[in-house]
Amino acid sequence: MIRQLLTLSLVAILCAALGAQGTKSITPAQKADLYKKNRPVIERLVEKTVESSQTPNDHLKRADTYYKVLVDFSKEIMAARTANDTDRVDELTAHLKHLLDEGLAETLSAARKQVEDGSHKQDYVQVRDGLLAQVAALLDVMDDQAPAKKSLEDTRSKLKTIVGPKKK
Amino acid sequence: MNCSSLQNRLLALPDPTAVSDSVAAHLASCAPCQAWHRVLVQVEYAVASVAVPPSDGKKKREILAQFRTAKSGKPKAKPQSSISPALPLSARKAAKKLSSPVQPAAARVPIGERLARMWPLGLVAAALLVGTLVLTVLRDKKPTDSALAKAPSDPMLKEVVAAKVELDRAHTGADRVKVLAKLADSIHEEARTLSKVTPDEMNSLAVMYKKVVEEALVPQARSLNDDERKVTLPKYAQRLGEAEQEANRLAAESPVGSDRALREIAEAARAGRIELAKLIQGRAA
Repeated sequence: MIRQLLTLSLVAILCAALGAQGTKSITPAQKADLYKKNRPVIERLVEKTVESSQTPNDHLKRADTYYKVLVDFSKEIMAARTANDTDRVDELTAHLKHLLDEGLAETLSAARKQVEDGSHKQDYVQVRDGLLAQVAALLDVMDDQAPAKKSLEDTRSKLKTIVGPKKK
Repeated sequence: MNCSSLQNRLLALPDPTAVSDSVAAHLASCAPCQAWHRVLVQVEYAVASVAVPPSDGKKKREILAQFRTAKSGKPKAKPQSSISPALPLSARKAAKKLSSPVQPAAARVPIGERLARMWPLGLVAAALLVGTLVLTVLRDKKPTDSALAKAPSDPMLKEVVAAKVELDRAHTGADRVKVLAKLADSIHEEARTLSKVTPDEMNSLAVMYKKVVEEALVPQARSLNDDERKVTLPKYAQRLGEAEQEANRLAAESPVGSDRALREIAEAARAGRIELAKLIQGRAA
């Protein structure tokens, strides 16, 4: 009986210790710091989300909204890299990857279908190439061994597969 | 087979009445051995049927005392060896039962002694406890190192990224309204948190909130048909109403700088709520 109680107590202590290491809620001061740091990208994202909502059926324009988002993310990622803040590089890269994989890839596919009749074909190529060039510029300055770079390279490969409309 | 070896064989049998053919042949031709065999069979049955004499328990205690003394030392002989193999089975079982070692009840060990025996377990538990406490204390002593080096990820940024992706993946106007209302809620929540700690950032949040409600949410709501408006919009109008009240309440409590931004948020929420109400009632284009 005593042995069981001792074991139970030990497990309870360990659980408490491990639980205490778990999710820490962010304090308002930490939130304020994070907002200060991320304000440029947050403002850009909100601006471009509003812009996207205004052209729900113009996929090309919606794809184009990603260009400035990508530029801002690149700036922040490079700044974090210069400051050796790998956690921030990883966080921003993960968000960028999500944006490109889940948002841009689908929008770009829809844009490709939209210009299949030939109109705005040149616009499509220009938008797509501009976005890919921006991703390439970011990849050039990232550490070769960084996992973030590898994930972005995968994303670039996916975007490259969304080729323009076939020539008639 | 001579008489002596035959008698030895009979003594070794578990049941002296069950003899082999060679033994039976010797018995048939040897009168002295026949007489000896009869006596042996009678003795076997007589021993098994002897009643146990009444006892005052003294002998039992003496025997038990002997066992207790012998328990600490090395056993000198196997108990079975003292039972004659010449006895019949029933008699030997009875004898075996009597001579089997009696295990006296173990004396109860005090709790303190039992706990003392578990000292290795106690040592491990103590070491873990001390380790955990030390780790906690060290962490609390170095908040700048640990908290800043491993900064938490920004939930606001995550929500805004999600809003952009979800909006671009939305296929209907109702889906877009839903995403935009959620984005407005996220901005309002951020403003609510930051209003007391960083008035400098409040203007940025107020501008974003106004932009989302006036330039995105309301126009998207207008794109819905009458049925969609009646089904979809009431809950968003209600949320805007709640945001308006909350922002006004916070504006009264917040430091200078935050109050103006919060009033702007409240005003944007009020205007959005009124627009949505008009759309629900079919009074707006």
